[in-house]
Amino acid sequence: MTYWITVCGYLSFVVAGVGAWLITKRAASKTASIGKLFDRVMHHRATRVAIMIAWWWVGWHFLVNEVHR
Amino acid sequence: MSNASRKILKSPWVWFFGITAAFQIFRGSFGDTLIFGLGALVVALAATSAIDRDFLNREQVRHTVSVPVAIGLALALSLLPRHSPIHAAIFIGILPVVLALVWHRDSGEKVKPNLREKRARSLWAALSVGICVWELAANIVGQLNHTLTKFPTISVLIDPALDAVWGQSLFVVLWLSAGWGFLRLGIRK
Repeated sequence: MTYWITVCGYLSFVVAGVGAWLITKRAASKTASIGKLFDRVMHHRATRVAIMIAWWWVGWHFLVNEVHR
Repeated sequence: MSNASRKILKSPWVWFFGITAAFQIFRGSFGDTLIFGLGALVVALAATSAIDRDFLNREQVRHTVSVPVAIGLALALSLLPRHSPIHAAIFIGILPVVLALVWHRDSGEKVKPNLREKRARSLWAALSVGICVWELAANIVGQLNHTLTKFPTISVLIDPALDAVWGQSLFVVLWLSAGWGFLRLGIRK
């Protein structure tokens, strides 16, 4: 039961994210697209470096580290 | 307080990496503690003008070079078995290169966001923080109840799929695509 509640929680965020991405892609959207957002976000060096380290760690976590299950 | 210290303390990413490093201690993961701790130091360095230079630019990473490298990485990471020393060596080799690509000086002052951009920032911040808090809760409750499956983290859910070649390949393609996308935005123009 708790397994499915937890999984449904994740799925809710994923579905919301996909929905947000599709809606904000449109030119007429009142919210900027995620691409435009990242363009702004990548302005400062500390942010660029942080994002690349976080990206690198995701790959390391699944491909190099052993995930305890 | 010096200017550099102020910049470091003002950077939310330094705090993010520092707090995550501390959380890894709770998880009992020495490796991740080290990675996030060092990450905090590197981000702190990036926040100051300590190493204020451009290492690599767009001209030096043309598609004639980057595409074959990306394809080579995709094949190696997909087909070689996970958790191997070769994977570790590839990752240790990739990191300084990607950091060098995005280490350049900021191009001017950041323009204030318009209303559309503010809405986007709020929306994606809410979704990102939301899923992180959900997973953090699952992790903590799972650790306290000594179970990895009743309150699964994202890692526990995704990792079994990577045991198969197709799963590993799909993950590698998605991961490399994300990195490519970040670098396209992050490399000095």
